[in-house]
This record gives sequence, C-alpha cells and structure tokens, in this order.
Amino acid sequence: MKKFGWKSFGFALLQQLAAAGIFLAIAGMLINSYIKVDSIDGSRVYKILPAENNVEFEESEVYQDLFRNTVSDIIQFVAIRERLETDGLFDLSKNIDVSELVSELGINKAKTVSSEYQLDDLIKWGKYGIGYESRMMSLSDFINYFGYCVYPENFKLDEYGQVCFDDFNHVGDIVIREKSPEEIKRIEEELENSGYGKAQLEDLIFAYIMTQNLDGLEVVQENGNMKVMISFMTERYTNSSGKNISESVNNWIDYMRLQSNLAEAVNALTLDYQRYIICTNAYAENKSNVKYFVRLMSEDKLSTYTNIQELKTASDENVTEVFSEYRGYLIYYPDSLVFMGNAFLSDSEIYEMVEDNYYKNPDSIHIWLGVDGTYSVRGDAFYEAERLYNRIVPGVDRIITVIVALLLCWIGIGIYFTLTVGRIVTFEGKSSKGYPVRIWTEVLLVLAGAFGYGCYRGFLLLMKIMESVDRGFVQGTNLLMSDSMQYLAFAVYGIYLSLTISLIWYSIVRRFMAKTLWKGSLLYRGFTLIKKVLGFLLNHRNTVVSVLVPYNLFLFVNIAGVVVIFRQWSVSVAVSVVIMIILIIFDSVIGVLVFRSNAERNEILKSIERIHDGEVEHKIDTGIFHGANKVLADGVNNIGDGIQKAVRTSMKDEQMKTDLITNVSHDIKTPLTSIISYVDLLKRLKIKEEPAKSYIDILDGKAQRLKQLTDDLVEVSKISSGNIILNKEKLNLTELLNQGIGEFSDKFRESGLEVIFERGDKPGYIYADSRRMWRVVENLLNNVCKYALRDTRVYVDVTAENDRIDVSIKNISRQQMNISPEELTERFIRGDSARSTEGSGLGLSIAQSLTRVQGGEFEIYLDGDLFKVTLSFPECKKMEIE
Amino acid sequence: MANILVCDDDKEIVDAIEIYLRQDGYKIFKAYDGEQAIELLKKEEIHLLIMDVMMPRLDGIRATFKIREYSSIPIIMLSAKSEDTDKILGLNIGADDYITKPFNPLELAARVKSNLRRYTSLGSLNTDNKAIFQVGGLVINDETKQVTVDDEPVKMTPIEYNILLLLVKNQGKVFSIDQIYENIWNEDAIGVDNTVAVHIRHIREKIEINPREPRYLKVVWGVGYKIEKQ
Repeated sequence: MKKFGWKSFGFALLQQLAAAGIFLAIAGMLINSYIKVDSIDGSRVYKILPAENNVEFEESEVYQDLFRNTVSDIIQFVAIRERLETDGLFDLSKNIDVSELVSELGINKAKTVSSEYQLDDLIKWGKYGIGYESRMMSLSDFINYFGYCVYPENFKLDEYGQVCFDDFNHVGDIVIREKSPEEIKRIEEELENSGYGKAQLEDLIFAYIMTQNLDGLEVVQENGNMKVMISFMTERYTNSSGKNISESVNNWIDYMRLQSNLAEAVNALTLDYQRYIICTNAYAENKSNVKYFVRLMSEDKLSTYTNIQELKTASDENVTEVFSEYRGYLIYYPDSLVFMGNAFLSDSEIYEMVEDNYYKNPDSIHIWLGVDGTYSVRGDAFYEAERLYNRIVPGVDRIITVIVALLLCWIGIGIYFTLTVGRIVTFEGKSSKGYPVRIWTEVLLVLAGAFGYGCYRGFLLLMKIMESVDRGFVQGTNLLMSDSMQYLAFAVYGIYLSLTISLIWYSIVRRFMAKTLWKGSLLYRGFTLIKKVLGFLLNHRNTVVSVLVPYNLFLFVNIAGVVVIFRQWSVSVAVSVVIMIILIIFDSVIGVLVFRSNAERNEILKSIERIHDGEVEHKIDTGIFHGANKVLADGVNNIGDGIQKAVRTSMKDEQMKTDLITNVSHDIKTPLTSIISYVDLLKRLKIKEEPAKSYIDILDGKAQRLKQLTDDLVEVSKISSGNIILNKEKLNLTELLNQGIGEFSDKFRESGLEVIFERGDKPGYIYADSRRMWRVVENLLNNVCKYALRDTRVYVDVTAENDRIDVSIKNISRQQMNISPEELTERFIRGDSARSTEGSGLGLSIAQSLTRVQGGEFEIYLDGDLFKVTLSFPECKKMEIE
Repeated sequence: MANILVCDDDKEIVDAIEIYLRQDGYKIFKAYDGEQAIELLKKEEIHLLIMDVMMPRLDGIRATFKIREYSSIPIIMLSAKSEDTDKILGLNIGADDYITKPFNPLELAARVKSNLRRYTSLGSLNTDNKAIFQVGGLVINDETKQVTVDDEPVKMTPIEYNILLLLVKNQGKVFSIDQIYENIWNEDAIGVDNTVAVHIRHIREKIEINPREPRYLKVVWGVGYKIEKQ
C-alpha cells in the first residue's frame, strides 16, 4: 500500500506539473506574440494569433497592414512630389498660386484673387509661423481703405427697382468693370430719387461686406460709434511679383479671402514639406524594400515618380513586367481599368486614397508598387516585421506541439486515476477503497462551484495580465506584474485548475463507483426522511386516527370558535359570549382529560421503574385508570406476574440444582462407604497372592478418588451457585503460606521438591476467610506436589506492592502442557491428558473460584514447562484487635 | 468390655463396623433404624451409640433428640452429610462426635475409644499435680516428660515436646510461628522458615486421630496455632 501511495503521488505530481507546463506554454505564446514595427507614422504593434501559425509572412495581417500603409504613403508621397517638384526635383523657387492650391486641396473653393508665392517663402513662413495684428477703423475709413468707392458703377437696381450694392467695380481710380452709360444714368437717377446720402450708400456697402462671412472682420461699438476690427496678417513675404496682399486686391472681400488662402496654403505646404522629407528618406532608392513607380499627367505632360531610376523611362509594359516579379505587388491604371497584384487591397480603396490626395488628374494616374520578397534592404519596416514574424511563428508551432503533448499527458494520467480511483491516494488524504464518503453530494457541488468561481476569477486575472501586456506593447504603459510573476501566475493557475478538476472529477467518480453519488446526497437524506415519516405514520395508523385526528379537530374547533366570536361580536355580543363559554368549557374538559391521561401514564411509568428495580411483586391498582391506560396498566401487571414467575422458577431451579448435586453426592457416599470399608477389610485379610493384592490396591485407590470427587463436586456447585458463607477476617497470608508449606513438607520431600519461599519484609495482611484461603493454598500446593517435575525447585513469593499482596507459585511441569490457562481452570480438566491419575481435576477450578469469591485475582501463566500461579489480594490495613 | 450399638439402614456398613470394633473387643448390637435403636437401648445396657442420620422411619437426629431425654451415653453420628451445618446440627442436638462417610476405620475406632474413655473415666485423673497438664484425652506429665493420648503413650522429640507443652500450658491462646520459635529456640525470629510448621504437623500426626481434622492442636490459618480449651 505504501509503495502504491508513492507511485500515485508521483503521478499526481506529474499531472500537476503537466498542467503548469501547459499554462506556462500558453503564457509564453501569448506574451511573446507581439510584433512592434517602426514605420514613418510611428510604432505599430501587431499580435500574432496562434491561429496564424501556418500563414506566411506575406499572407499575414502584419504584412497586409504594412502594405496598405505603404500604398497609402506612396500615393500621398507622389501627390506631394507633384506639388513640390519640378521635373522630378524638389524646386524651392517654384511659384505656387495659393488660391489655386487651396482650391485644389478642397479647403476653400470660393472664387478669389489668385496670387503666386515662391515655395521657398511659403515653407519658411510656415516654419516661422503666421502672425496677426488687429486694427480698428471707423466705418467710413474702412469702406474707403482701398480708395473712394461710392460710385454708381458699384450699385445696381434689383427686380423691385431698389438700389443695392452690386460689386466693387470702381474703387479709387481703378475701374474694373465699366457699366453702360444708360445703366449708370438710370442708377444715378434712382439714387437722386431715393434721396440716399453718401453715408447711407456706405452703409449699404458695409452691409454687403458683412454678409460675405469673412474671417478676421468684426464690428465693435466704441463710444456709440460703430467701428470695425480687422486682423491683418503679418506679411513676412511678398508674392513672386513683390506685392503685398493689399496691393494685389482692391477691396476687403478679396483681401480677407486671399489672406485666408495664403494662411491655409502655408499650413498645407508646411505639412507636405515635412511629409516629403520623411518619405523621401523612407522610400529612397535602395533604402527601402518598397519599390514604387507612378506615372501621371501633370501640367499637360507625363511625369514619372519612382525610386527605381533605371526604369524611369521604361514603357508601362516593361515596368509591369518588373513589378509583377515582386513578392507583393500592385498595379493600378484606373483609366484602362487595370488592377493587378497579390495584395489584399481593392481598387476602390486605392481609388479613395488617390481621391484623398487631390491629384490634379486622378484619372491619369498609373501606379506600380512592389515589395522586394528578399527584403534585401535592412532596417525598413518590412524587413523588421518579417524578421520578428519568422522568429515567432515557428515558435508558436513548437509551443502548440508542446501544449498538445502535455495535455495528452495530463489526460492520460487523469484516465489512469479515474480507472484506479478505488485505490489511489487522493487529495482527501486517505485510501478510498471502502472509504466512507462523508460529505454530502450537494456540499461537494457547492465546493465545486466555489472552486469553479475561483477558476473564473483566476481567468479574469489572467485576462487582466494579458491586457496589461497588450497595453504595455501598444501604449508603453507599465505591466501589471513583472515578467517572471506573469509566468508564475499562469503556472499557478494551471495547477489550480488541474487540482480543481481532479478533485471534483475524482470525487464524482469515486462516489459513482461507491454508488454514493445519490445516496450521499442531501436530497437523498431528505427523501429518506420523508419516506421514514410517511412509513412511520402508515405504521401507526391507529395513533394517527386516535391522536392526530382529534388533535386537529380540537385545533379546528378552537380556531373556528375564535373566528365565529370575532365575526359575531359586531352582530350579537350575547351569541359571542355564549360561544366563548362553550369553547372554554370544551377546552377545559379536554385539558382535564389530557392531564388525567398523563398523570395515569406517569403512575404506570413509576410502577415499571419499580419492577425494573427488582420489586417484581409490585402491582398497579388498575381501578383508577381509564381507556388505553387501563389496558396498559393491566399489561404491565401481567408482565410483572410473568417476571415474578420467571424469577421464582429460576431461583428454584438453582436451588434444586445444588440440592440435586448434594443429594446425589450423599446417595453416592453411602454405597461408597461400604466399598471403602470392605476394601479396607479385604486389605486387613493380608492377602499376599498376586494379582488379588494389586486388584485390592486398585479398588482402594479408585474408591478414595471417588470420595474426593464427590466432595469436590459438592464444593464446586456450592461456590458457583453462591451457596457459601464467608467468615472474613484479617489474616497474614505470608504466615498462612508458611504454615501451608510446613504442612506439605513431607509431601514435598516425597516428590523430591525443594521449596524456595520468598516471604518479603513485612507480613502480608489480607481480609479473607482463613479456612477458604487455606483451601486455595492447599489445592495449589497439592497441584505442585502432583504435577511438578521431580528434583526441581518450587518458588513461592509473597510481595506487597501498590497496596496489594501478590503471591506467585512457580514450578516446572513434569509433563508437557499442551493446553491453555483457561482450560486448566475449567472443571475436570488437568494439565495432562492422563485423567486416570489421582485428583478430581477440580483443584484449580476451586482455588480460582474461592479466590475470586473472596475478592482476589487468580491468574495462571504457562511458558513452556514453567507453570505459574499468581494470587493477588488488596492489602488489609485495618488495625484489628485480636 | 463396652457394649456398642451401631445403627444404620445400610446393613453392610453396620456389618463392617461390627468387624472393626469387635477386633478391639467391643460387644456390638445392631439396629437398622431409629426406632429399633431406641428399643434396643431400653432393653440392653449400651455404653456407646453409633448412628446414621438418614434412616427410614425415625432418622438419627430425631432419635438422638429422643434418646437425650433420658440417656447421656456417648452418641457418635456417622453421616454422609458432610456440611458444616449438618455437623453443627448433630452436635447441638446432643451428639458427642460426628464422623462423615466414607469414614476411616481407624479413626472410627479411635473416636469410639476416646468417647468411651471420656464417658467412663471422666474426672478420674488427679489434677493436683502441677506437673501434669490435661486437655481432653491428651495428658502431659512434665516430670516424666511423658505424653499420653487416650492413655496411649506417644513418643516425641524434645522440640516437639516443648512446643506441645507451651501450647498446652497456654490453652486457648494462639501462638504465631515467630512466637513459638522465640519461646522454644530463645532466638529472635528473623527470616524463620517453616521449621515450626513442620514440627507442628509432626505433633499433630502423633496426637491426633485425624490430623486433617485435629481435636487438640488446631491450626488457625494465617495466624498461628493453639490448643483448644476443653
């Protein structure tokens, strides 16, 4: 069993280690499945799912994502290049019409004055930042800032013939649009008719400006006068013609719009420039595994943007040939509906990208894009991603193999334990073969639930850990716990899960095997209890009828009575009172009956107690009892009679037995007397001739033995029936033994025995019947004389210890004793099987009985041929006066 | 010689007793129940009666009871009833001795002799002599150092004689082994073995009819020895 226990323990340990291993592997897989790729837009983290372990890098999500980003980058990059370059070179002296640019980029499409600025200036402007300065003007100053403008050319008549502002056609000296003289005349007439003064017309102009919703214009009240607040851009640079904004326009509307476009253009170009720098670096020839080739119509001529210079002049077909060789490539001509490639992008996605980047001629664009499958350029995003990916993915494969192997190991051990669950050492501590399952099944289920909840919480914790790992990679935040702690948590969780499953599973299996799954459940206990109660009620149908029914009736009557009283109270007090009185009388009668019944039962119980205590002649006076109690009392009396009769018979029988033995022994003795006497007479005849003489000797011996036997028989029967009277007194057991040994000295000498008497220091006083005590010692010494080996020593020791006087008599048996000490004291049994020798075989039995009857202990020990008898009596310390 | 009436319902026993006692020179009369015994007692001059207890018609107890109304002859009861209570009953209603069956013929003869001596020569001894001690049939003459039991001389060793004399001189007093040793040997009794007990046994064998049921030298088990006062 012990060996088996160790084996099982080893297996159990192995199983837990396997579970820990599984979770460690899972942890390793999960924690190490992150790929961090630095791209031009910053870092990105990808997570490799175990499901992707068979996917090639080029098919993986990482690759797809990188590819998509690359496509997007290139499309943007080419658009920027188109804007910033001239003939494929970055051209700082390029003149850019800010209004056109803003319009192309879709920022501000309102029609406005165009003004060309040098790229260099704009980028520098963006670097330094755009500043504004606020200025206050009176309404009149504001209106006439660019020159006097209240000319009829600037007004018109609406459909109702009312004068309204038309446009800044004539400002100061500049006449932009001349109206026909008739029209001017008509307006002048109308102006005269309407009686508008100069101020009113200025108001009209101002109102028109304000309706244009221009940024940077605000109306404020100052001392009751209307003033206008204008944000003027600090003009760091002039346009390519050396003009300020105010020199390029002739009214506020154009001014504000141009100023706004300029600001937008500066911002957009600044961003473009930054991007341009980054992308030029990132996608420079031989600095990236990404190859691109874009052709498009720009400024009415075909421009090519690529990082493969040698292909720059190649035809579209050649380019396609080169690019379709790449591991990942994309070819897109929207004008001839060509879309090729092995990337996961759709043409509409690319179309959207093109659209988003405001190409001048989006339909003319031809895009070739490829990624070198050898990743020969080190350090770019694809190279890094590929390297990391191919480091992790095969590892995932191996880890999954390990997990499967460990899982199989775990399940294997589980099956082994399940099959041998009857014998294994389980976590409940004991060998379960026949091990009583004490926990109720429900408790087990609750425990299982608790453990299960623990598993759930553990799972949540693991999820949290993983989340923190995820966040750590993606956002760089701190981990929930250190790396080794994470693994430890996984391993511990694995062991916990395994233990929980084992515990619950083995318990259920064991219960199932021991068939206690149902029997050990609380439900079963409840079920059997109900069954018992029902069975009990069924077995005691009479009691149910005689007690439960009246009891319920009593309750019913009372409740009904109380209810009736309450309901009648409001109707008729008198009727209620009458019902109440009837109810009280009814209850009182029943109370008296119950009291009487209980009192009678107590009486009967007392009587039973008395009979039980030995007063068998006690009788119950049945006259005062009623009903069932009377029957009960009669029954008790009858049982008492029976007991009395039985006791009498038994006493009589015992007496008769003793009398019988005594009488029989008397009847035997009378003829025996004749036999002994005549044998003696025969002996006196001094018959010399053999064999008559030896026959007479045999007769003599047997007659004497018969005499001894009858005496002993009577003695034994008296002792065993308790028919002897003891005259107890204080006596010195040592002295008695001394006397006894003296008495037997001749016999000992005859038997060649030497007695060694060790008498102790002080007299061994005991309280006993001296003659009976002598009988004990006599029998024992007689026994020694009869059965001890010749020429040996007999040891008689008296010791006084612990308030007891102990006597031991030891001798070496003459014959082999193949008998137990118990049998020796049984009647008619002696140490040897030869029963024909002298003695009755009752000697030891009598000695033992007499010792015990006097309160002593009598023991026989046999050890080989050593025969030892010990007597033990409590020491008598009482001072007795002789 | 004396006339002895033997009464027992068992004829063979009566015959056996007759054989034994006739050898000692007694004249034997025989009866087989209590009534016969009483009739014979009236007719003949009987000196001693040996009677069984359990007999038909009139049993030994009742017969003894009746006989004691007019006669004081020694009655020895001979019975198979060996209980103490039987003996006490027999002796109380007037029997002088009680012998249980089966009996030892020599013991019976000795008791008959002892009882007859007591009956016929009671008080005949001159007890004025300070050197003569008597207990029943046991007489010790300290001058001649002679011991007789029922007039029969008994041979004794000096130590045995001294022990017996000590006990006889202090009739009724119980002497422990140590006390006897100190008195006889005049030495402190330290670690005394059972020498005294052995001597006592020898004395009993010499002076008692049945040493197992001594009349004179009694063993007080666990205490010591004494001569019963008579």
